[in-house]
Amino acid sequence: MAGRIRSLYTTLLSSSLMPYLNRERADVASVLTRYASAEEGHPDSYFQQWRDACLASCTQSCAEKCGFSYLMMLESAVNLRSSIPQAYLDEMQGIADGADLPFEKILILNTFYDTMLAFRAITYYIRESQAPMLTGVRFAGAGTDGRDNDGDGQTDEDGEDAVAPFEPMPHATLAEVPTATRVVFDLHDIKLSIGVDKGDSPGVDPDTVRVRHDGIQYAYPADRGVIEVEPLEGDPLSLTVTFAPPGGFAPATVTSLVLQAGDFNRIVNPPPVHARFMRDERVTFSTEGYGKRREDIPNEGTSDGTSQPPSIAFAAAGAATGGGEPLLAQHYALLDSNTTHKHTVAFVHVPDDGTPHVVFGYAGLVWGFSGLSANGLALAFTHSDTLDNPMVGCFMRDLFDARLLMDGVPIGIVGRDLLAHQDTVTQAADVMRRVRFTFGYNVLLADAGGGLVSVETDANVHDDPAGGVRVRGPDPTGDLHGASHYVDNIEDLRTKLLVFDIKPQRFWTSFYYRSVRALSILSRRLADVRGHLDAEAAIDVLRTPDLVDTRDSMMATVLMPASRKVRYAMGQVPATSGEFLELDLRALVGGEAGE
Amino acid sequence: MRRATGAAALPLTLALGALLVPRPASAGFAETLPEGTFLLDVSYAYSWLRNAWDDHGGLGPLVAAIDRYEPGGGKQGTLIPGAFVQYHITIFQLQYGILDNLSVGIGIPLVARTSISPDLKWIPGDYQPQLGRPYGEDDFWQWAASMGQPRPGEWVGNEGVPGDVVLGLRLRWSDWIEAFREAGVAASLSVYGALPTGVHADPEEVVSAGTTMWDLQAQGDLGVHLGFDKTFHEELDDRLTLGLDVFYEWFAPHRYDTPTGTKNPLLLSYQPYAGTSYMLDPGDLVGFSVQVDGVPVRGPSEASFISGWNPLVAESFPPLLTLSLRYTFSWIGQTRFDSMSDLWDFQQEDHWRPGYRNALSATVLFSFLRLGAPLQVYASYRTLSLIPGRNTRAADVLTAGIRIPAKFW
Repeated sequence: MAGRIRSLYTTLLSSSLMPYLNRERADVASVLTRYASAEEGHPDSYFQQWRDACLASCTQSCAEKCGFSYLMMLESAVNLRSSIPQAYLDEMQGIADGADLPFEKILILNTFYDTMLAFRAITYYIRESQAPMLTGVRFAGAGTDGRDNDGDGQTDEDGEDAVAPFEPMPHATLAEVPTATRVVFDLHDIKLSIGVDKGDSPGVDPDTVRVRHDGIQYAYPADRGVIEVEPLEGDPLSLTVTFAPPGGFAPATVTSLVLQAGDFNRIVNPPPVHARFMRDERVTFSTEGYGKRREDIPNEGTSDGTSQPPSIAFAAAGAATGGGEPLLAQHYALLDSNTTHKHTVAFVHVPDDGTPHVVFGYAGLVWGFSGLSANGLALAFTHSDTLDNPMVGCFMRDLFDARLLMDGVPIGIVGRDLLAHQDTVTQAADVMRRVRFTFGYNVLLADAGGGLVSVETDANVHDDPAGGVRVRGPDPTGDLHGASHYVDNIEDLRTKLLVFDIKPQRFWTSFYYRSVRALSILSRRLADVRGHLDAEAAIDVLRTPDLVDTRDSMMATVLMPASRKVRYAMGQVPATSGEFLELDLRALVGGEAGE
Repeated sequence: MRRATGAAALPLTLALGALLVPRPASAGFAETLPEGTFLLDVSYAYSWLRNAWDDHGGLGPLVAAIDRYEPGGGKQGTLIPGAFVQYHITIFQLQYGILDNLSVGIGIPLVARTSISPDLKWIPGDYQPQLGRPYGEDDFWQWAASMGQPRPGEWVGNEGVPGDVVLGLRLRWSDWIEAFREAGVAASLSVYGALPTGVHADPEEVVSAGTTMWDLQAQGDLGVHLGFDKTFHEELDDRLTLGLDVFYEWFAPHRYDTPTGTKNPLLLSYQPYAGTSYMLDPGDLVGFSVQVDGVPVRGPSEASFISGWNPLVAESFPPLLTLSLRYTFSWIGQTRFDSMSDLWDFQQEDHWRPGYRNALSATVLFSFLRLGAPLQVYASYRTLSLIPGRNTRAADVLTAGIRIPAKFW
């Protein structure tokens, strides 16, 4: 195990993640000046002075240990340490001793997940803020077609043919639009006056505009006629893109368009040189004759091979299941980098103070992405990208002098503690309401008595009186399911800070459309098996091709809290391609059969 | 190149064949030098290697394809190495006949030059939203450079670097058994051992090669051969010899430095978890060779100073032209790695699985002793790429050499 711990640290952090994150420093330093370097004219910056001192005393692995990402991860790890119960710190110390690694590296290994997610959210947001933005969508003819396209009970009212300002939606943007419609996208690009883009010419580069429809990607100017672009007079920052497929849109169908565009920037770091591209925006609508309200048409899109589904989880109890045994299933996907899957471990913990439990994680971690206790509490979580995280909180407080510092209790530690000390979903949810979380997570809980709960978290950096936790029970069908976006906490953070217009996750995260699609497919699959959902059926659902990330799949589990059994697949990519092995927790640690 | 997968640590190696063993002047497996006779053999070998036999016996690239992933960005693409390896080696051998049926020898390989061209091709992977396209080949290497990883270029090295020196001995024990002589069969026992004078490959290079027996994949560090030659004196006037050789060759375990990643931080940072060094215990070789020597031209003979002006002695010298064909089958065992990381060991071992190779070689030997010139000239071609093997290199070797016999007392 010692070799695997060192291997995971080296191959995932030293050789992959840390060098990757180091390249983000320039972007970050353009806003948070304490991270600027001497080459950027800041020899006295906090980062540069720390780096100089580090290099002066460093004897080995200096590129790693004196790099920006190590500084960020270490400082966050040290700050998070104060929120980690001593028992888990003791475990980390034991791991460090056994693996012959410094404690600080094991602490980083156990906290980098939370730190990385928060940092990633910030860098994505900064990137998106400087890329072209979709500000509005119009459907020509929908305002005069005699139909209620937006489901508001009115027909052809002012503005019915448009969504402006644009709002990413989990469902169709409009319904029943004319087949001859032309879809008009309004794009806008700005310079923030800070950030690495300053000095470049603002504006959307027409030659980067592409629209994907029905499996075909149309590009401007090659497909002029299908795509037309038109600068707005007097507004060099904006561009109007009109899309009309040859022959129009098919009647009585659901159509999705995916829009891409870049700006005139030529970003050199990180290479290769590229324009700054906006997130792929997906707009779904139905054409006349389809017959459903827009809210009833999921913004699912189609499988086009350009993206992978994110993590998913679902739980069921009672009538939703086959034999009445509750279950909780999860497929976690985020980061494999051709190494993570080689280090998976199922840890059975028998704490001195608490309930024995099993968690499914990685060599060197004291926590896992899912777990089951001997008292019948099951837990699994997925991440949910949010700017409501402690690093953004630092920026809101200290502005340009902010540190990238994490705060709160790492989600994995929360999971361990719940499994060790709580027996029911009600108890667990009550505890979670009092926890200060580090990031956005969608946590599903199930217990042996058939209790199911969904908990959506954020760090509550703006001190929302409702707190950073949203708790929901099962829907009337008896199941709960989620992916990697919020369903309840949809206004996670919306504020204006200097030049930054901070918006909820759906406006900027690269997970959003993928997650909306996955959740829609998962809903349909669960409906197919409702009433006879058992472990085998759950595995079938997890193996649904459109729900499997074939690149960054990490592990899949089906937890059965009543029987204290787990079916788990890990150690290969995708995890679900392997055999689902059975682990009988009662046989390992004892305990009574479920209620 | 193999290291780029994160799965193998050793440099590219060659299957040169057993070129470096001190050999008797004649082509047979049981030939020895006459008592008191020296034989100096100097040859030049050129080996080239582009492919390897995979676990299913298919001919594939020398190095497995390398899938590259970006953290959270999916698959960047696949590197398809079309590595081309060339060795230029000069081999000096000196043999001496202690008795008519006992010869000893020393072989000193001197590598003149080794070159490895990675010749990396690229298959784009996932669509990258931040680029608006998948990574192209140049895109990828720019990305890698930003992570501190340079693009591997052609590697040239081992210029004038010695290989492992080989000491050998052959005893034709059948001379003591009358029945063998009557049957026209000669039998010998050959043993040899290698002295560790070769060098290991630079562990920090993505592509590199050493000059030890293991690096050359030519033969073991210790070997035992049991050889038989059947001549047809009465029937074919000694114009045909059939030979059989069975052998076992053992590789000594060696300790190697683990790459630290100083030159290739993304591809070769093994030391933090595999330890500063590791043990490598190569799989041993066991196999056999069969050989046919034919004499299409015996040639005239003239009494000279070599024959002591004795025409009968001159007539007994080797024929003017000998053609040899040899087939060798070698089974190769699993190579073992032992580092501080069992996972790393497993990954390395997966690329050095048991297998076998089928070698064919043809040799043309001109001997001018019958004409009064103390000189033999030969050329040979040996191929491992013609008959499929398994988990072995498919190398080809061209060799040309001269042999000068001498007797000083």
